[in-house]
Amino acid sequence: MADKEHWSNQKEQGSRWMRTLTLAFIRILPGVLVRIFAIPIGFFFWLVSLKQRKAITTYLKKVRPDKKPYTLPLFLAFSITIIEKVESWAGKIQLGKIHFQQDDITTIWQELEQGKGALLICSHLGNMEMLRAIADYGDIGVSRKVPVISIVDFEVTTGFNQMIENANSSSMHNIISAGDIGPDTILMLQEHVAKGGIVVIAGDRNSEETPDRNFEIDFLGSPAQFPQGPFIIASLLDCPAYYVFAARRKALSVSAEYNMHIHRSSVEFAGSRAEKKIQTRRMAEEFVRCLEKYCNKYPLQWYNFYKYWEKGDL
Amino acid sequence: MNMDELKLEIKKIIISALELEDIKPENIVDSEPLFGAGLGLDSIDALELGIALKKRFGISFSAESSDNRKHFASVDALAAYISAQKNGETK
Repeated sequence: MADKEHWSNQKEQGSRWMRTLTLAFIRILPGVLVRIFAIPIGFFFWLVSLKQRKAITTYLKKVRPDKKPYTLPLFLAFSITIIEKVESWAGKIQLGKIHFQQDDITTIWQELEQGKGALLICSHLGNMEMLRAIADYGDIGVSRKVPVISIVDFEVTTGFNQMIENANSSSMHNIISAGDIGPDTILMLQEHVAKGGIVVIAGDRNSEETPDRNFEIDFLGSPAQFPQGPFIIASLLDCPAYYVFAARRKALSVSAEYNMHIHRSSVEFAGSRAEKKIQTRRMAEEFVRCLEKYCNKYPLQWYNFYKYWEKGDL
Repeated sequence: MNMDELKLEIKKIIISALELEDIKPENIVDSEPLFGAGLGLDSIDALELGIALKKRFGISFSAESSDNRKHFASVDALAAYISAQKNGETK
């Protein structure tokens, strides 16, 4: 059944002129000033978004049960993140502001250096645009230029993509809409990773229309639905998979310091079809444990503004 | 392999790759759409089917072409595409 609160049915907030205005601000004004403007924008978004506020209240109660679930700070942090997404596409974010952690970053750089491809499974926690720092800025980690294909929910983000395109016309390469996947897509992705490319997909947006394509997995204490698609793609692509998270060190501050966390999936796909199905689910569970860990670390940077848990859980 | 054999083979692959246990090859209409209406396959079926067809027939696609999708529209379209690719190779 179609649920009006599902994310795919939500219209993007803000009209076209607001986006144009935002972009103009970002381009012209110094970063500190832009971030100050994020406050009224975030406040406005918070004010008009009753459903989203309810969804975030539920989330906050789960992630920090010991604190009052004040939602405004998260909306302000989101507003800043939107600005930094645009900045990153416009090339304004410096790699020096992204702090790679002592995890699997060297492994992925080594693998990319050897010409191997990779699948990055990201989320709507923090700012996934920062992931491009792994590949796009090249100089520090990898000496070659790594092509990236992102699988996105295009219909939801048409307006935002339009704004990004206006900011940097060369940035609109290799974006596939999830709604536009066909049998040729996987062959194209296989070819892409075989040539050493990266495929990026979010692992935290479930499919509402086809509930049998979701995995039910415990997340922050209660069962939630996660998509099977990204993990099935992982099972079909012959390349290593990584879970990647980039979040602000402080959700609310003028300085854009980011932490980047990257973990190589421990799941190997082998054996019969039945075994692969079990492995696919295991991978989804491994991703969700990672996601949960970073929700706890960065509680105010969760940007899934829709009812995430089972019905009756609000 | 003639066209009818090829179509039967394609249907068998669709059934086995997507584990459509309760469907028999004769239940799949050659001209009906595989996705959406018709057989009602979804995007995850599409991923699995793409791999299975590549394994069996070694088909390939140009990344640039926007025509790719229409080759998967129906069993008819797939059979035409696969046989065209095979003929192309043997020429």
